[in-house]
Amino acid sequence: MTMTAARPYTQQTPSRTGMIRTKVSAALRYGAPFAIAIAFLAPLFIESRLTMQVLAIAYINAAVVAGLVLSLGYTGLLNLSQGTFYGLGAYTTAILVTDQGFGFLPAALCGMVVSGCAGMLLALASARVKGDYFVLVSLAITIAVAQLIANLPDLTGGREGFFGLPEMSVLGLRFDNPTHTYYVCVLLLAVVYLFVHRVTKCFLGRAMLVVRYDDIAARSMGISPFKIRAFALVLSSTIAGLAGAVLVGTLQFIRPTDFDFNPSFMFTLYVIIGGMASLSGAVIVATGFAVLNEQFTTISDYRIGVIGLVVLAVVFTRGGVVRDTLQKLLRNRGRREAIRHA
Amino acid sequence: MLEAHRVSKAFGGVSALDDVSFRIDSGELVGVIGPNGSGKSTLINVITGFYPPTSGDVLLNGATIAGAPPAAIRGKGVVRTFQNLRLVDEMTVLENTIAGTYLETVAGGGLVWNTFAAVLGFRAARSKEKLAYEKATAALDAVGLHDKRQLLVSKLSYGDQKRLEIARALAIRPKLLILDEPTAGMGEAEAEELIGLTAALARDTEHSMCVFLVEHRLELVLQISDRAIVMDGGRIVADGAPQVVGADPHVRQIYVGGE
Repeated sequence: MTMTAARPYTQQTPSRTGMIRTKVSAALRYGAPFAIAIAFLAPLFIESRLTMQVLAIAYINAAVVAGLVLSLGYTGLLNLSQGTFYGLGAYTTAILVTDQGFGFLPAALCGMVVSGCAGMLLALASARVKGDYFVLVSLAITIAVAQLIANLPDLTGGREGFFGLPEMSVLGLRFDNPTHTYYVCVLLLAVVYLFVHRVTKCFLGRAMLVVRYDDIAARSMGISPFKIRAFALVLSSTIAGLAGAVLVGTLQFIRPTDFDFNPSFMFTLYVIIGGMASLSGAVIVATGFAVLNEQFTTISDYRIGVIGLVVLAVVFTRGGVVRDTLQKLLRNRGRREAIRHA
Repeated sequence: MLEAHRVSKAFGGVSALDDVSFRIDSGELVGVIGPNGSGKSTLINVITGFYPPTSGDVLLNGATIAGAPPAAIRGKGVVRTFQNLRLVDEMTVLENTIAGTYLETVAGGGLVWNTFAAVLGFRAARSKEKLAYEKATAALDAVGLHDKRQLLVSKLSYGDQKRLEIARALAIRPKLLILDEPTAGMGEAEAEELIGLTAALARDTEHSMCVFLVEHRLELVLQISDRAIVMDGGRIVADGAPQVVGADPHVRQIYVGGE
């Protein structure tokens, strides 16, 4: 205790005081760049195009989940619409690049705006209904949008899916082979991760946690719970929209079942399993499950069952499986350090 | 400093505050005592904007604040703590305290602009964060939690959590600090210590602040207050020097009756 108190102020820059989780956060501070480095080098060792694509899609999923950490993990909104926001971004981009002849970048920006507006709609609902009722509204939006997408074949390709989408090309750069799109997906995840990380470490992250814990405390501190919830939802959904646009350029094929209730539900579970207010936990879980799901298609039939078991494990492990395990791994090392400093 | 003028508050037909008038002068430590249901908490909720008064007016330095939202009233330097703990267990002591400076951080530009400034690491955002950090550290020093600032709230004792609530309120350097039964649920020794801390905060000449201490421990409040107000049934039944109020037979009767 005195060890931390004795540390000079310069070593504890204010931005880092944000969410210091001491040992765990130190591990993650070095862990995230390390993970990015591995992701960047991976294509050198991977020959299969399929594996590359599986990883790329895992990263996109992880970015969607990272976005969800803001509204669900920090602000505590049981948001079951993240997959819908993801889909709105994807379909908006797909429609604009094919039917309207938009460039990929402007189409992606429109996709983000559409998803962000949908997030704002859900936020308006959050002002009127709380708790369980908010979940119902969120669920209703998810199901309604999925039905719309499936039943507007002229616009969306209907249940069969939207085929023949063009490759990504941004500012004259074409990303037309799996290695290129792979790097776009790594970049997407890195940017989203950094953004969400910075948000959670600043005053907004603290305000979100206060809102998640206690509306009355928030109001007494001058924090408007509605504004924070709305902002969190808009950020979450805009990130999902961006990920949806990248999915269009990566897969060149989207279908309504990628964005119906199931994926939304899975994204929610990933955040819960990752430890709610734990960005790294959620991203690790999301990437891991996405890879497992694609690599072992036989498992995917039992996916919900497997996840159910994991959720049970979470219920009995406070603070999330990932963070807890990390903490346990690091505890011994921390003790040795404390002795050395004493 | 703060003046309540004929404030009444009724919920449906039930009157919780009935024609309450009093004033707090700057630098004063005013103790408010009264049995459960005497309207103490309602009074706090009216002053801090959680309930608008049914009639009457609350003035802060001559300007009316009755009916203003809690954020606006906090912005004017009136802060409160709660009887039950309202802290974020997942954040450290320091983070909880810094969270108290939220309004100052979003001032000038609003929520969205300040978020992007913070995410992109603009100099203005960094200096705001640094200032918030310094204020929070000073507040933790003042309540004696400096050494525990990196601990998670869940690791603190109940008494320390109560202190943290006070630190979070102090983080914006308030003009008026309203404490709602800070010693509720504490043992005698712990309570005495906390009341002592309250007195020390009020006496701190470097930073002049009024304290409005709502308590049910009659003797402790009388010992440290500059003035004592006694409430019963939504009315003020005594208001004056602690010795006078303490000796009032009517007060003693109410108080003993309420215990």
